[in-house]
Amino acid sequence: MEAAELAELIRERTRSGELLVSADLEAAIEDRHIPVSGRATEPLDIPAIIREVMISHPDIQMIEDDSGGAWYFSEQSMTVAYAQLQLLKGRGPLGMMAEVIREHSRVYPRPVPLALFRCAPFSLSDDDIALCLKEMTGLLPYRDIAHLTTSIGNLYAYSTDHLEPVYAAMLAEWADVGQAENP
Amino acid sequence: MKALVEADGIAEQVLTVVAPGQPVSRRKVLKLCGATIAGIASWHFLGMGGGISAPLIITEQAGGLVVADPTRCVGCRRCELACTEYNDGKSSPGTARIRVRRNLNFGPAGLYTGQCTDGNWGSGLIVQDLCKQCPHPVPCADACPNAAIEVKPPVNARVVNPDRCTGCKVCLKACPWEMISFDLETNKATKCFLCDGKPKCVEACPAEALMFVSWVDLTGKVPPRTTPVSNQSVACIDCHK
Amino acid sequence: MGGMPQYGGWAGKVLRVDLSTGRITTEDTVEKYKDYIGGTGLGYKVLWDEVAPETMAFDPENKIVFATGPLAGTSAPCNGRTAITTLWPTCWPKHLVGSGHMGGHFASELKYAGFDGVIVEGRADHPVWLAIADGKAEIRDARRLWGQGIRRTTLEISRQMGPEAVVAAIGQAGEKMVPMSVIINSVSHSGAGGAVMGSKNLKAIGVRGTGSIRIAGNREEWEKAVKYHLSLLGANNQIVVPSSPQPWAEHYNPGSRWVASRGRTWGAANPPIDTGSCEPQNLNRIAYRTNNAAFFLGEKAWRYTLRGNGCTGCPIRCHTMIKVPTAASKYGIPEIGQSTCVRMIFGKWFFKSFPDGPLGETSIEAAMVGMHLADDLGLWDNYGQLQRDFQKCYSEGIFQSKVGEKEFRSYSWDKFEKGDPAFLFELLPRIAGKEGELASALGLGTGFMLEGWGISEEAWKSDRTLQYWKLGHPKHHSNEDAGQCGVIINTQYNRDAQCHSHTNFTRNGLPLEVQKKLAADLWGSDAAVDAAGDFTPMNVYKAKMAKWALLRKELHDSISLCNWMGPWSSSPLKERGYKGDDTLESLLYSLVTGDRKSPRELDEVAERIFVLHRALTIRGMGTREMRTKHDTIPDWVYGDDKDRIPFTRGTIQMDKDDIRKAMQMFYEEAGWDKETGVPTRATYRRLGLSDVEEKLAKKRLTA
Repeated sequence: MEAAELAELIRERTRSGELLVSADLEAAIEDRHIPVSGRATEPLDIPAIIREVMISHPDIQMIEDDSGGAWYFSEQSMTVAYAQLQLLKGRGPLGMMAEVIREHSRVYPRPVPLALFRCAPFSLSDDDIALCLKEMTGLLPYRDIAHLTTSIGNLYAYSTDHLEPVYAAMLAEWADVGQAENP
Repeated sequence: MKALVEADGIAEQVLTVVAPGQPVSRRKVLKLCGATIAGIASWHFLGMGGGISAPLIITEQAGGLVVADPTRCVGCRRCELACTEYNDGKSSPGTARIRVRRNLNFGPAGLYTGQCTDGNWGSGLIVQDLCKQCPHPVPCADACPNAAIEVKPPVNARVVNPDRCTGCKVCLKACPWEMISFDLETNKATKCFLCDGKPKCVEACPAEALMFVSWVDLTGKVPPRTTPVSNQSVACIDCHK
Repeated sequence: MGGMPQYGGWAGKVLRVDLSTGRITTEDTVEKYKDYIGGTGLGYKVLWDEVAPETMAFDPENKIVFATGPLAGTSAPCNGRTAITTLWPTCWPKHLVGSGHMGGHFASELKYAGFDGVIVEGRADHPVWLAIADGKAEIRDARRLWGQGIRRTTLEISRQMGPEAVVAAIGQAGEKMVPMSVIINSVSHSGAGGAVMGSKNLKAIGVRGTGSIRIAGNREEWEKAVKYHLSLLGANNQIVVPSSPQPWAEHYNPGSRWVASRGRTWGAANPPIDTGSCEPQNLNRIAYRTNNAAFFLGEKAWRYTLRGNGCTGCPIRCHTMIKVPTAASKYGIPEIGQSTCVRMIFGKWFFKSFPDGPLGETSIEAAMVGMHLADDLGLWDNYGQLQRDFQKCYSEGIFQSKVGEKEFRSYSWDKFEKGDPAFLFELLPRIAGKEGELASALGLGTGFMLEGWGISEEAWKSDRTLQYWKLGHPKHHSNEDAGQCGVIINTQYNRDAQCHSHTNFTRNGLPLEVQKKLAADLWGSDAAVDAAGDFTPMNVYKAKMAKWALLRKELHDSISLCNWMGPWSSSPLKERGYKGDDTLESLLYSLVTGDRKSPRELDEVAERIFVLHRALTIRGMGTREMRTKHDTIPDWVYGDDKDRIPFTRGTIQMDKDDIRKAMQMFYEEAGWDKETGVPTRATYRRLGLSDVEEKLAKKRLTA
């Protein structure tokens, strides 16, 4: 299969908002492979093929999930950041939420309104979100995840590794109430 | 469809050469007749006073069309601005070849029906008025006494040739949708020419409310804005007996 | 037709209408005002030259100047605003110079009609309206329109001038010279100044223009420049990241106004339209990024959203049209309302609470009723100060103590307490009509209301929840948004500062690290910006940022660019490192006019305009002690309700000494006297304002 064809396959998947897992990419390579020599069983050097695709089509990127599995996407229609968010789903809702909360607390920095997790690509229900929050409390891996309620009753979460409670509270209030009072 | 017609007996010559139903361009007729460009100006209507050229009867269909979705129009009027700024070097909604402003406030029915049904003061719906690139008979082209509205490849839009336009404004009155503009600075009519295949208005719209598509006949679908001045072209009789 | 004008962009003429004599004349814009460009620059120049400092807002000697800039009416993104400059009737205790802005289609139509501005002077002896059409103007009788709302006025004038006409009108509030009143064109686009128009018996200005604006520059270059500018646009307020994760985005911020997303639809469109994932590279989807109804009224508003709306040529569409049939049937108002920002929540903001919460159906109904009434009566909110004052006066028993019992009881306070939008039908028309003590006082504006009721300004200044700053007006994007930079900006005007240059940057949604990188480019060091609520002591770069913010505000208001969208200090483009382009104003101005000005040269014109405003204020106040008498800061800026310490994480409070230093640094950056805050002679001279300096020197109002 031509590198261009493979690249286009990856791009198409990316355009639909998803990544192509390596197993699917390998299957596609095998499915479409036309043996050059005409012999039916010709061993494929799949890593080499994939390397070629990525070299000749620099928009094609690869990121690894937590278990080292490779996922492919095109930077033409997806950022690395979004691709990573997609992979976060593999950690389950708790892991996913925690990572997002930590990232926001560290990078911007700001606490995260829990309503955010209703949105794609998280797509959690309010019940799920509440359950996750409850579950996180007391679990060692999530001991840095804290939450608060703003003066108008909305829940925000943050990581104490990056934001102190006082600061988190102020930022949450600013986001939830302050900015609306200063339109 | 009959062949392009010319007055004064040349028509009969043409019709014997060209098969019925086959569209023929003016160029082809000229070739057949061996006539020159200079000769065109001297053809007269049968039975009419001197000095008026025969109308240019367009038979080719346009190759493309701009269609609009009023439910997406956000009334920004960037289409009107793109049309005139990028084609004429001036911001001139008054001479834009796509018309939004006249429907912006009260809708196409306007203010004088007492309802103000659409537009910013009514339902919010903004109807964009666009040239239909009419099929034959093309009202504006047929009405022009100077054969100034022509077909222009590659998209076969109906285009005002400013070299031939004398500013008489007859075409303005002929269009049922009032889509011909008149530029007071050049004293010429102007109309949508599809920007030779890459319409600026479509490019400029921030709400995806305009599309450039293959031509389709909307003349029977879109209600006219006005009752055009009827301009019976005697020349039509040559084909349509 | 005469020869081609020397410059493009400008229409060429300023209309001058003397309502006392009925005399209408024109001036050559470029000849007389080119050094001030247009807009507020033109307005300040007229007021400086022609309006004596002892004039009051409602005197016939006051003038009200409607002015645009060379970019208005072109396809330059975000150019639709008209500046309105006059003596401000809510400026307390003295009516000093102020400017407001009105969006919609007025600016462009005025340009197509052949005018860059309209100077209205004098006072008509009976209600009139001004008809401007293609180079000509006429004063017409408005007696039949007087007493009617803005809507009817617009319709009736449109019948006379044609459906394409743009009408800027006052409602009953302006007619009655209620200081808290606005002028509105194109349904919902308001600008303060209604009472001044009313004082001149001027009901409306109707404009019809079939002309054009010449673009001086090369056609292809212009198209390229406009497309380049479009490519750098974010959403409303130039926020450059979406509010939820999008495939194309590296960053996102739940507080962003870039709310488009798959599944979020214009629910009232027929059929509904999915806003989808609006990649910044897709210039055909810019209009879907922003939904201010959803932003200000909550997620429920998506269901009611019909579409975006806004000024001529602007792709952002920050006014949202909502269709709420229940509001129509419950309150007898039109189904459709449209507005943005404070005017969208005008009605909602009066109420302490609603039975179904702050973002429920009732709050949306209150917004609908508020828009309907305020945009027809022509009431002004003073950036929400009207609503905050109302709540304070009610909850602290001030209304009860200051107005008679009979009048107090004439209001259905139970409705207000319950959060019933019907209450607005009692309150707003009375403010517009000056009916009763309570309504009349509110209509005066905070300063005169307090004075009339014998309440000290200090009482208002000490309550931080009121957001009151000085001279009768509130803060507008102060330290909560941008630390010392925000404070400095809020000291500079005679009404709430209409400056968004700084907040458009601080709220752009980008990570702090990226903001700091951009700040280093723009203002010389990443120390210019702090994280919100994590402020650091003052430094010279913050002063540079403040000066930049103020100058750009005046530039935008003069050239016709929207300061709610510009400057374009950042962009949504990852490939640019989110860099915007700080030279856009220069690029567009030079191409449109043919008057090539570098960014620095253009900033100098902006500085001239800003310093002229300063001079007007100095002259109006009759003092050179600007630092202590004008550039004041309320104490609440220095306080914290949790007694936290300045410059610790979690507080926005400022430190008095640090702010004193901040003001000095700003004065230094501005070339003003460090102690008094008046521009130095050298600065006046550098800006070509020596004549201004001389006149002030004669009155001993200089450094």
